[in-house]
Amino acid sequence: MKSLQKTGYIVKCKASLFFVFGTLLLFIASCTTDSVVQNSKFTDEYNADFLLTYYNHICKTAKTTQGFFPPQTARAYGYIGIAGYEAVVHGIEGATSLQNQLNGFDSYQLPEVISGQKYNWAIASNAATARIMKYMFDKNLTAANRIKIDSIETATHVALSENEDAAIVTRSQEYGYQVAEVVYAYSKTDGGHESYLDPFQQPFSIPNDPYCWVPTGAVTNPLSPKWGKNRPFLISNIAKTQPAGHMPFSIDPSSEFYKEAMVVYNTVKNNTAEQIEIAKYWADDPFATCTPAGHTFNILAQILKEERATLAKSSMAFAKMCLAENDAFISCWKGKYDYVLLRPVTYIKRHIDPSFNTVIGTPPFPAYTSGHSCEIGAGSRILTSLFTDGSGDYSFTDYSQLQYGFFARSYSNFDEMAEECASSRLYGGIHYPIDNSKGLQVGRAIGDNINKELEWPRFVN
Amino acid sequence: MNKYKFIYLLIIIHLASCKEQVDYDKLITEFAEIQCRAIVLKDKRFQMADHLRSIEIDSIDKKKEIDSLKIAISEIKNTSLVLADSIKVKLDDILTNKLSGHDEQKEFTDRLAVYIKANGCSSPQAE
Repeated sequence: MKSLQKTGYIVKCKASLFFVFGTLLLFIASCTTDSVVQNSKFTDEYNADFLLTYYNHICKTAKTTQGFFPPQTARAYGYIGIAGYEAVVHGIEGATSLQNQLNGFDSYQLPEVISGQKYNWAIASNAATARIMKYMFDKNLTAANRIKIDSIETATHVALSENEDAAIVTRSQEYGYQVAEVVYAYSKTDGGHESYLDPFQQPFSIPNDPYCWVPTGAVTNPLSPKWGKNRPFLISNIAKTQPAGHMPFSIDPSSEFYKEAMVVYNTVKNNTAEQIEIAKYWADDPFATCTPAGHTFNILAQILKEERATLAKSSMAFAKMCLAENDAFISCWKGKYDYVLLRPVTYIKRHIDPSFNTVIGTPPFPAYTSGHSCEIGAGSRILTSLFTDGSGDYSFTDYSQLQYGFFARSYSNFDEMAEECASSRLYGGIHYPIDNSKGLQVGRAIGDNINKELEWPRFVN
Repeated sequence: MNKYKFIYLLIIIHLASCKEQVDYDKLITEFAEIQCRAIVLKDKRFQMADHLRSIEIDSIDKKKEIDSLKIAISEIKNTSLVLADSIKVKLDDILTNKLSGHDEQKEFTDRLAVYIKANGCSSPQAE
């Protein structure tokens, strides 16, 4: 009996040893990702100069590539930001990949870091950003822009490879390229793949009802009417942000709708010189700028540079902004084509004053809600999360429009900046007040979602 | 000897703490010329856009005029983009290398605006 008990004891003891040993093995195995991080320099040990150079060139590329209207440009930024973040995420302490966080991204397998091997995360970021950027503009990318991207990539790679082990250089670069390939594969299924080749997405018909959008200029087709069906990065960014309907359409002078149009009419008639300047400043001007999203990215890049943000913070900052801007345009465009509301210029000419003219051009798509307001609402929330304690208080001067012949404008709060941008559409005579207020609401909700629903690392810088 | 060391040390500290005064006038005069060209081009772009809209709204059979205007717009766009690159490079240099901190940068852009508004943009270099 004793012998049996002893045997049983030994068996139990062995089992227990196996259990303890197995658990230890599992524990060690589960730590391999961390060991990769610990072996390599952290992402925040690199500066972000080269990344800022890329974002500067994205703006230039968007300006000079056929088919890149605001939604298409925001989308290009969107995937470039994801690739840049995923290329460095394993070098950021406490950071989580977006792989299992973004809508549909988990169907794509990002490359794994090799356990125990060192990586240079800046080299990976350089490779990923260059490759995804070429993919996003792909068929319409001019030779000059392609050469410029290649030259940025080569110069950065050479500089970063100096005094770095050759195997680490190769491994890191290859890793970056693989990340870009997977992000590009993910992008192909969102509904906007190569949309720059057919930005007007015809055929599309809009009803002939009196409240419905009609062309306001030479461009008779509405821009990207199916954009609202694109896959967002967060489902909630569409499902939970759609605005309630606008006030009922009416041509009765006592109606709310007529009063909204009268606000536009009176504003344009009584605009101050400052308001006209603001309307043009935020118009992201005919022919020469990289769209409203590009303006917001220019502001972000400027602040990151001023703050001397590391590669880690910059990569996260761009990723947040990229996700927010992409989804802001999807959500906004869904609303625009759900409501297909006519522009103020059409209504005012028909029912108030046939000689009415806007201050700036009315873009070729429906009014409700304002694209600028959506995108700046989202952008302002991202900027607030990145650089403030949540108050939005931050003194800065936006230098990004000097290159287009404007004077710099200064702000002390990101919300104040967003409000001015939204109001600029009223001063311009191209949006009803409700387009702007609801647009800001939509954008802010999206920015908040990106900040709160996704896991982001916390940074000092 | 120790006294001399101390004096040297003081001189070194003094020199290190000395900061070259920013010559705003020089910076602004240099930058205003190129900025004025951008302002003139911007005004032209908006004027052309207005003109294009008025033609399009008033008439649908002015195709020739619209086409020639679109060519002019394309040219002005290209000129604007090239100029924008030059301005960006020059501005980056000023903001990064000649000025330090938000206060000096804001001072520069504020003074630039005052200077250009006071002097206008009708210099011979303006396009």
